Amino acid sequence: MGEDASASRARTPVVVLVGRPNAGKSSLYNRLTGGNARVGNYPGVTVDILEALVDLPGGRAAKVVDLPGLYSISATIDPATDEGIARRFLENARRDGQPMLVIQVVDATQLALGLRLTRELLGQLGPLLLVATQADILAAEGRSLDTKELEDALGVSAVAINARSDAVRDVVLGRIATCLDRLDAVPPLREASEGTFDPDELATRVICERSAAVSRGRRNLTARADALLLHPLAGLAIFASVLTVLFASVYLVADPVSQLLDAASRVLAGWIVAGFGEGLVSSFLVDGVLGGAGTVLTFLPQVVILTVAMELLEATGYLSRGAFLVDRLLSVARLGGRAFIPLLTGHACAVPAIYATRILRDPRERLTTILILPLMTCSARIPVYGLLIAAFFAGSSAWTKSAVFVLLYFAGILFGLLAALAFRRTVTKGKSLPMATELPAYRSPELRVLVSSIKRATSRFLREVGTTILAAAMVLWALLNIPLPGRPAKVENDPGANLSHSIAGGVGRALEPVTAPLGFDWRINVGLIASFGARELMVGTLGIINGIEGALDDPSPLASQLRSAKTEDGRPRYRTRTALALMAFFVLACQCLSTVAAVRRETRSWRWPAFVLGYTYALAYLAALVVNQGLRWMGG
Amino acid sequence: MVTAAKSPVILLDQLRPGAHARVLHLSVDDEQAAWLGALGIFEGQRLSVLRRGLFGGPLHVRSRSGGEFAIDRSLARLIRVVTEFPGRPDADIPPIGNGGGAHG
Repeated sequence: MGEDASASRARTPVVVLVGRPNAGKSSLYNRLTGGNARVGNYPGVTVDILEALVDLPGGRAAKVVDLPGLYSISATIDPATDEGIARRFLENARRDGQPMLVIQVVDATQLALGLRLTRELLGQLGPLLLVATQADILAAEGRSLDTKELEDALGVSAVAINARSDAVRDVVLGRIATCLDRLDAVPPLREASEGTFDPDELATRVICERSAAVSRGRRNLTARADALLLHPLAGLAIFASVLTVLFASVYLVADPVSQLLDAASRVLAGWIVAGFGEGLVSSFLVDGVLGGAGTVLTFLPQVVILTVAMELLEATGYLSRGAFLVDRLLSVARLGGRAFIPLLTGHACAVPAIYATRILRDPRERLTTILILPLMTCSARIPVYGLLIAAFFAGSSAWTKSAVFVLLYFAGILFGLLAALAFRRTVTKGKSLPMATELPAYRSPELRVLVSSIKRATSRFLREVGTTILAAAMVLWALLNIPLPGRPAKVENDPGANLSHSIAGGVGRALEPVTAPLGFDWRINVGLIASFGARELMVGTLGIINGIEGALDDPSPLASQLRSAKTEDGRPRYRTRTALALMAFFVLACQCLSTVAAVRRETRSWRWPAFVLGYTYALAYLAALVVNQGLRWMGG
Repeated sequence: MVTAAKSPVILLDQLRPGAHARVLHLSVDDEQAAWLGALGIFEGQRLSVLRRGLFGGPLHVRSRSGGEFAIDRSLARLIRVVTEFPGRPDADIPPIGNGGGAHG
């Protein structure tokens, strides 16, 4: 019985959707699978390959697989490009000997371009079902597709559809069943010579024009939209407005959600303390588990907003226009215009921004962007900058304070661009895709595709990033709360002493010889350890060590304490140069375990998060050392 | 900027908005040429330049095969083209299916 079941699974035919980006593949996939999709487990693949089991007419089932959008399966440039991934998938599937039907989704309004891929597929893979989408738009343009002529010319099955129509599922599933039946009866492989034809000539033959005036009118509409949206001034102003709304949404949405989560976790914490009493167990459940889960949930709305934004920008065709406008700006760092959106979003939070790098087609450009994103000045750095400026520039004018803040903010961008340049010449150097991108026709987005993207993005974030954050939060709790051997288990009403006796306190002291040249004592070191959970925890932790509660809400008592703190021999414990060194450290260090988890998720390896930690901490140490020792040498 | 009337064989980068040209040669390696060909930029393809990005930004071109592309200037400098329709700078390239014929 078991063997029968596994043999039957092995024989389940695979139906693979391939097509150029924007050909309407996602829309068709959603229709065929009813929105049910799971991300296939293909080791080493950093893009999503979706798959779902679908029942065909006649009682047969097939696994429908959605490959990433691609232009070619022969010209792959690099194994990590979408083309390379698709090629590897198709080769493996063929080697496994499973019955396989390739469906090529072509945009009927750009048939000549789609047929270039058809030519490759026919030459290399054989059986093909050609599904021409946008038949409705073609009709609106006063043109039509002669599918019979196309079938005769290519010797394949072809159907013209509107992927958004409800009837499309039955039509295409019926065709799939017929093709698979034929596949069972006829040997699958074709001769490579069958893939030779002139795509432009064939497209001219099978596209029939009914009204040239209608077609011109529609093209003029696109041209008029481009005249505005790609205008050097108006276009930039519109793009800036769109990005402002996006940025503000990502930036501001965290606040109300955090407040809501705070309120909810206070209630839960109350129940936990009532149930377990005060002590380490409650502390672990409240600060470790509940705190970690809260951090994860705070990111969720941002991930949803970014997913919606990316889908809308991509589906409407506007993303490529925005990238066109800012392409030159980023070319100084050897990045393309599309990198602008993740880099901008990174100024709110690196976690959703790392996810947003999926809009980059070139794998090396994508990796470079992921590697520099932790340097962008995210919102979590701002309370730390605020505290340090309040503490050590209290006597300075508002202008000086602002200047320091602006300097810190833009230092992140500057170092990010410099790092990108350095990486493109070293760790991410290699053959990139040619710098040409398609500007697709403007289209209206589809709600069904949007909803399934959101579902997929949130469940995967919780599963793959959330679990890492939660686990790391628990480890951090242990470091900050479990006392070192031989130290008192807990000193009542003295959280500062408890922190001092903790493992983190011990590590902070042990690190003092290393951090002393930067001007950091064990207290700052403990703050740095705690703020690896989230940067803003630096403020709260320094507050606890210095016996001040609620420092994050009102940092002024802590600022004043830091200013007046003295060493045992009466000298100021922290000087302005210490604060500046700490700021330099915060600008550069990837003090954020959530970012590390996100890098791990998107690169599918521990090598790159380790690299991010290594290079940012090395840079941060060096910068803090130069600032502290340089100012000391100048008599600061 | 070289005008079409003086020298019909120029680099894509040198075309002004409204100009039309046919791709003669792509000075990139074979695999990149194949990828560009799959994208829709290949020897023999007819292109019209719609606009040039600010401060040396990309070129916005429309192809005879129906696609529109943003081509980085550094890449455009590697694409040799022969200009066409020199007397009609505003002439549009009709897409396939709009009465245009086949081309090589």
